[in-house]
Amino acid sequence: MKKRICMLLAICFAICGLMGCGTKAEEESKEETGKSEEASAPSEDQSGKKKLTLAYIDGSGEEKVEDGWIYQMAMNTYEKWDKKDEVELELIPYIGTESDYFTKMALDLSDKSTAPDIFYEDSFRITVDSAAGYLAPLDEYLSGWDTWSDGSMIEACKEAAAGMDGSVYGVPLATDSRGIWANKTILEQAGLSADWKPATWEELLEGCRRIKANCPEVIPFWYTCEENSEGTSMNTFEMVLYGTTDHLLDEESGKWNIRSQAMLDSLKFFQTTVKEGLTGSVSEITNTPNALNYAGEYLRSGKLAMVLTSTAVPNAFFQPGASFEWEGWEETLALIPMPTQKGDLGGSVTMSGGYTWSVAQSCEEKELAFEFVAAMMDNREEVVTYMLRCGQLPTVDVSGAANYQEIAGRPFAEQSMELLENAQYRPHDEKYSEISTYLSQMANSVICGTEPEEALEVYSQAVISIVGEEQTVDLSE
Amino acid sequence: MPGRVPLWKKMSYLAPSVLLLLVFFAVPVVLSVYFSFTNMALTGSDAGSLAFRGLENYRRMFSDLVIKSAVINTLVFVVGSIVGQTLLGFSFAYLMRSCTRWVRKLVGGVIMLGWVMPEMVAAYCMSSLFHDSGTLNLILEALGIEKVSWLYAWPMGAVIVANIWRGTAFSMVAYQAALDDVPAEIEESSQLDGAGVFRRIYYIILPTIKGTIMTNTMLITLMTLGSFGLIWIMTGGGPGGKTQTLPILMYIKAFKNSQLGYGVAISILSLVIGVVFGVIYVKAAGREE
Repeated sequence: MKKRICMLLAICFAICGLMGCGTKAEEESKEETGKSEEASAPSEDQSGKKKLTLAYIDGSGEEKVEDGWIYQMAMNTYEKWDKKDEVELELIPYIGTESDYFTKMALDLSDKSTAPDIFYEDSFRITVDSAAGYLAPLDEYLSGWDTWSDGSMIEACKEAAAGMDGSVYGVPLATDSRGIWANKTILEQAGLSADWKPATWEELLEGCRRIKANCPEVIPFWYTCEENSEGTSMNTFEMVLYGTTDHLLDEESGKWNIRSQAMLDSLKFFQTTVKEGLTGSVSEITNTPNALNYAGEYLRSGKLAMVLTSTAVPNAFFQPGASFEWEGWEETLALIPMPTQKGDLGGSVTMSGGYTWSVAQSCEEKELAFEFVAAMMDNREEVVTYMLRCGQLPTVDVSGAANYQEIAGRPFAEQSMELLENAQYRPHDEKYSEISTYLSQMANSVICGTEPEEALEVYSQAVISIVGEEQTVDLSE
Repeated sequence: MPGRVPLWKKMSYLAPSVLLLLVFFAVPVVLSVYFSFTNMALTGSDAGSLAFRGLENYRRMFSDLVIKSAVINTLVFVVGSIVGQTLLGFSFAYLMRSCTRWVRKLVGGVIMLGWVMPEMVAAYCMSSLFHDSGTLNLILEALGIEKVSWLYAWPMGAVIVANIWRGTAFSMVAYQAALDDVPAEIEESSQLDGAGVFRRIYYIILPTIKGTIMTNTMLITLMTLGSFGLIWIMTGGGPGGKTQTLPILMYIKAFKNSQLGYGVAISILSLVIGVVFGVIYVKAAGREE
């Protein structure tokens, strides 16, 4: 009997342990609901100054937070801001993966006591976060801001910052385009010309095969395929899928494409690169968060021929002082547009994304927060400095900036902008951000050995569970 | 009369612990069950409007291919850990009986290291052991054997080995205590009758320590079912979901796919599996008695 009681006690303990894990989600949400009822601390400190908090992800890789790219842009603007004496600015950096940053921001925003006033937001999250009521609509402030209305901001970026209800929820900060960065020396060694431009997926694969055959020490083609990463969805999978006639979402009917030949073909494209050994080792291309860093290092040391990624990457990676400093990279590398599947549809494809400044719905000084955002964007010198360091493209016209020449003369500046003109954008839909997590899981599982058909089946199931069967379309039928 | 304490007084002594249990255990469990029936989400329009969705999450669970593979992964992980920990733990305990004191202390101490190390540190140690350019591959290289990408080629094997490494100390201590209870005279007489080591273990020792085997197995099961940190740090549930056990899947659904309600429903599923195992073990132990 005693033994039995001991055993029961032991079970209770062990189950407590199990529940400790099980109730994590729920505890956090309990905290949220509990705290939101408390009055949040007034945004004025003892000295009578108002206080603004600004949260961002620090992807600069700088050792000191104060050297971070966004930190410098915000602080340098703040120092010159005419309201500096009335307002105290607190910066909240986040260092880690983007995916974790999104999770953290969603958790923080759902609670008034943890929500920042201003934060750095990926434009694809605007629809979902505004639908959750986390973001403040900025329309009334934007109408009085010259930069917004005088045509100096890229229209497509403005549109991407709108929520499902048509209101604008973010001020576009940066954008980018995508393509293949190739080492011209290796292309020539492999018997392809320095200005080689594959017209179809097959030509691209054929080029990879030649590189593999003629330069056996070199990895022909790189892309990143981390699980649960927006980068995988956009930089990798969508760059291939959008080179076909099938997109993720039929914007007209609002239905999600859950199965189609083009989707299978896209997955098979990646499967081929792995099966034939045309890409890096699976453990490296799926490594979070180093998949792209491997590419940077291999490209610099001549061990890699091509990488499919953002046009921001080489500028941020190889310039003096950056993590993979490489003198003369602009002479060695070429930017090749990513071909479409069959060479049709305009011949090439590029996806464009971007980042915005958003103001939280819970912010008590929304107008003031917006004014600071506007001040940051109107401080064109700082915008240019930021773009030079992160490698991305400005969303505002910076031709009036004193340091404009530096950005205009940046390697591949013109080509990156050209690509942007025909860029395609991720689905402007509240459900995209959730679906995208499944998209990256699907691509990742194929790279890791799952058959495309099987991976697509899991994806279809997930999409149906998110949007409902009536909102989906099966194009393979 | 001394010892006659009024009921209200007795109850008031109990009240603090009952209250703590209610607030920190009962309420979260009940809320978990409730949230598993809702559309709770991290962000998106569902985040703004918590609504009761009945059995939707559970219905989805039964057709979800990912859940199916996660349940299988969980069972493989649990069974692998039980077998490994029991065999190793028992072997160490048995072999160490006939060792000198300092050998016992040294070996015991080394094995305990895995157990006392924080999970985070242990997981990083194991990651660096199995990593592409990790210790294991360095040894293979030195021996002239080709490197293996352990965490990609044998991910489940790697996390099971890591879990066994961590848990062996626990089993060893349990079996050491149990072996002390085996009457020495019976063992000696069987030895005189000509029974070899394995026969002695099978016919004398195992029946005597049956209770410990049962308890140990049950504890390993329940601890391993909820294991998250070790797998998350080593593989993140990858590659391609090959080490995605239920706790990992729950985290991904809740915090990566933003579907908190579904994530909580998965946690309830793992709770149910835990309870089922618990009941089976208790029933089995009861029959023995």
